[in-house]
Amino acid sequence: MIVADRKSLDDIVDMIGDADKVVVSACNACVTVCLAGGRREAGILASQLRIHAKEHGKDIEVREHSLARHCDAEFLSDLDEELEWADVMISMACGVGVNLASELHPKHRIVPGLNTTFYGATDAPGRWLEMCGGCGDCVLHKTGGICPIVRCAKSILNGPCGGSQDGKCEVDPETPCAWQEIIERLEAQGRGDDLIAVEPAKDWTTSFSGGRRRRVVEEIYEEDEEASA
Amino acid sequence: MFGRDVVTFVCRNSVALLDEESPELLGEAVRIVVPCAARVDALHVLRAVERGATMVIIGACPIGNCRSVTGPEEAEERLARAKALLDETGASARLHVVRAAANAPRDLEDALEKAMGDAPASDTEEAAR
Repeated sequence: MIVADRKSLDDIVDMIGDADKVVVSACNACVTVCLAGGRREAGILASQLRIHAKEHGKDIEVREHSLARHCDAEFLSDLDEELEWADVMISMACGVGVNLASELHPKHRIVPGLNTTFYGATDAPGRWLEMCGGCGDCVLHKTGGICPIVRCAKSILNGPCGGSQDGKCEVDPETPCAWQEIIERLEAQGRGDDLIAVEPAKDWTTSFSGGRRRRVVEEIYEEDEEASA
Repeated sequence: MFGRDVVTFVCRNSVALLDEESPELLGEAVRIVVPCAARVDALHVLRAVERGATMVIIGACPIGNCRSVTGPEEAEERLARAKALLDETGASARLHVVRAAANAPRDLEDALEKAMGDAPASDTEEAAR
């Protein structure tokens, strides 16, 4: 899932500026699971905004709203009424939701309430860990399902580096060395010798630095074009 | 004596039972009975302050004497988050957890007296943590 953190109230207040009518829209998907942007967190932000306005002698109206998810146009059409009413919408979705909502409602001001951080999983109640960098060229079959791109501080493909100490990373003694984990896992699977092969330099053209990526399923995309023609 | 500007969330296994026996302790305060003090979320506290509460009290069981095992400890953690969120707004409502068993009205009385005497939580170093 996509993991995010909420922005500080100061940052959010700066973003909404002198807006009198504000809608806070929750996303009930990934960011609900990581306790950043779901209905409850949207309620907390809305409540904070009302209290902040009262404390600072401002008169603003804050509405709360939620969608099943913000990353599909079908759901975002439910925003029409709220956006017509509001001066600004604070999206409690990840960056995908903010992008898509802004694209579908270009005349309306939509600002992010969250900082989108990573693709991760729940490690324990209240803690989420990054698991995937979305690099577009997955090597997990070679590393026992442990991503060296995000779980190794240096993203190296032939580890460990010299900074691995007692199974921990030199960057943070609390962080396990991903390559130590990879070695242990492959050895446990009887595949330790697989690591003798040198992994060539990674093809980063599949990653995010080459501009906006897209995925197209040709037959479906063409069908849509025909339907809209 | 508490007025209507004080909102209390009281555990049904301890402080709510004490309140039935000694309602004068909470006075005119708004009572919301919860199944466990840990049920109280930061959102509940913020909503109370938003609607005009100057003090929010969570009435919990004593530590080690909770039917849900860790209710009072979790209530403290949730209240700490509520304090941090409230501090961001600049508001200064007083937020407290008081602990007393169902058969210990004196403990509740002492805890409430202490809560009433404390400075607004948002003005203290504790609130900033």
